[in-house]
Amino acid sequence: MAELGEVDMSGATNATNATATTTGAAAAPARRRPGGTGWNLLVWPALVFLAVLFLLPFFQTALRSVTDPGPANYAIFWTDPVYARSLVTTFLTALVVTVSALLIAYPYAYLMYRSTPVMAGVLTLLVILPFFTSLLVRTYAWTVWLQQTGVINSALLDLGVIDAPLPLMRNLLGVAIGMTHSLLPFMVFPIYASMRRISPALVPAARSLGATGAFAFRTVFLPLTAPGVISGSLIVFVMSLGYYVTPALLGSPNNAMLSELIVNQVEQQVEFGIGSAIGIVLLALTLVFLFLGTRVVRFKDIVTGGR
Amino acid sequence: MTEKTLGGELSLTDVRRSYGGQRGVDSVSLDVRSGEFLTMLGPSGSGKTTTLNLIAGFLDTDSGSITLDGRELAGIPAHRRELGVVFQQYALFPHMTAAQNIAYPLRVRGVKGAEQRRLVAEALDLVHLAEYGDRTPAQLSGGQQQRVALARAIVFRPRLLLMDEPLGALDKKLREAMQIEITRICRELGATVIYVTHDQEEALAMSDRIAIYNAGRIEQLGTAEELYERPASLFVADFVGESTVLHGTYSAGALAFGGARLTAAAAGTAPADGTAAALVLRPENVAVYPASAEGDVPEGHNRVRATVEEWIYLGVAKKCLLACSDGTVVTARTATTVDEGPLGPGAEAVVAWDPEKSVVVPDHRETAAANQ
Ligand SMILES: Nc1ncnc2c1ncn2[C@@H]1O[C@H](COP(=O)(O)OP(=O)(O)O)[C@@H](O)[C@H]1O
Ligand SMILES: [Mg+2]
Repeated sequence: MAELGEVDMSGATNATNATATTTGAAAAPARRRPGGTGWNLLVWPALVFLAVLFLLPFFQTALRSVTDPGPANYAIFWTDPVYARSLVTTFLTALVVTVSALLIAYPYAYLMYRSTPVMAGVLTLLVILPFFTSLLVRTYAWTVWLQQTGVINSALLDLGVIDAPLPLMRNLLGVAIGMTHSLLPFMVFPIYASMRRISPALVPAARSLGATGAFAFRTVFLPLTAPGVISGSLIVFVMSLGYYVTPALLGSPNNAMLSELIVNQVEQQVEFGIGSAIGIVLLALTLVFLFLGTRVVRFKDIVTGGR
Repeated sequence: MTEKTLGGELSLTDVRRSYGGQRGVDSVSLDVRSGEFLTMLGPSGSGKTTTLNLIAGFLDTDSGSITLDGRELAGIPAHRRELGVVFQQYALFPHMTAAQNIAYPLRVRGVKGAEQRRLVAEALDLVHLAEYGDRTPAQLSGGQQQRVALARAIVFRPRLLLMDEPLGALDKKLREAMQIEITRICRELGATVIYVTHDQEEALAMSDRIAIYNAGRIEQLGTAEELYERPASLFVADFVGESTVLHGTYSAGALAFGGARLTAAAAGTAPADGTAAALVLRPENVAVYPASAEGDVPEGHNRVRATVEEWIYLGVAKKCLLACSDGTVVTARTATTVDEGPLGPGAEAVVAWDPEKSVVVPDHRETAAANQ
């Protein structure tokens, strides 16, 4: 079977593939991939999976948005101000989450980078720990902390720091806290990866050339982590655009994100056409930002955090 | 700016540094003269990089003192030591062009505009890369990258140049060309250089003096000639050049080896009477005679009986390997014109040499083994 695959693929191998293999072997034998032969067959189940479970529903949704009952579904964005406002809310929320995740993740990744291997492992575990529990449970946990009678408000009231509970959820703040928490790994890891790729001699080199620690950081270290920062930001931003559970539980229904409006249309109003139209707009928005992102970094780098 | 010279004077006194109990360097003392090219040569893990890092200020000493032009360096952070450092992996900033890399130390010092451009162009010229200023490191070959790194390290006229195996990543041919290039540039600038390598040929070719490192200490410091002709220890004899070592017992100014009493100049301290010692012999100082022609050996020369094992043709010379009765192999190097006739493999022979051309050193290896 494997042999058959090899024969097949070598016959189908195109010129670029062949040259890539030879130059790769000459320049960097260490970075050889297990590709080019029968391994390529392994990608087919994934492609079939994507086609059936992703592309098919997508075309169905796109079709529905213009046929159920007609393209007028899209008009909702200028006839009802709720939808236009939601567009802004969605964008704003994603922006706030991205910026706060970046502000937390960069120092955190730097700490990991400067730690001993054991400590770095512990810090890595701490970031991915939330993945071991369901998003729903995590979000409910936040309500325990953030609600009017929650841990934080009770403590502050008891201490006499405040007279009335602070509005920590049912608003953008609550949504931002919950989403930043669950999206943090997607910011930390690309940044950490880009730091790990920086040659450890560069900062000492800058120091020996007369740069203070701060100057060396700003002119050498920081620019070299830019690919990680951009990748992480793009991933977090794009994922934020479609977030549902956290905004639904921690946000305000008066200031819903697009995902919440879709659920509302489909479940409460049973308007599949309008729900589909909103979905397509959300997807278009996501693709626009992905496209803008790829103007700055290569798509491959977004996924892998740069090279 | 330009009138400043790179000819600083460096002095290390009893410098020590360990890594959490593990030895890094252990009592290193060293004086480097202005304009001198000093090489630290030694096997991997012997403390060369540690010494360099201590001088550069990337590490703090545990004890001892390091002075530059008489000024104590302890407490002065790396960025104010005014030392140019060239790293093995070049350590060029990948997001800057060659010219921007070279301009970096000038930028840090507030040298801007036309003056900065002039100095960068001058430095690029010096390393023969005038046309390559706009390339990024990724667009340069290894040798070119290393020359940019060198230009960057000297453009701000540091007092001293430190280089840690700068040619380690290059292939042999390029390495030899770069050795000449680096020596030329450093001479031109009158720079004081501390150069680290584990390649003895490189050290011999480039250096004014060489410090032989072993296990965190400087085993011997001297010119290439001194190290080659008067090695102070077996380690140095082994590490620098090719040598034959005859192990024996030292007494009354001579080494008892087999049945022979061999005299030699003692390097440094002579071994104590009755202790294990070793005689170090360079192949080119050994003459081989047929056993029947022993009478030809000049008066006063040491002589040892041996059996010819094989001849190896080297192009510029021939090498003869001989075995003594105890199995010790002696290597002799002769002109290619020497007649092998009576000295074919298996022939009885006498090897002889001028005592002045050999050295006796204490044989720590033997004592260490005996102590176990
Ligand atoms: N960061 C470090 N942590 C622990 N030990 C180290 C460290 N750096 C060097 N050493 C140890 O110090 C000794 C000298 O190392 P080094 O100065 O790098 O040697 P060289 O440059 O001659 O190869 C070695 O035994 C090495 O294992
Ligand atoms: Mg080293």
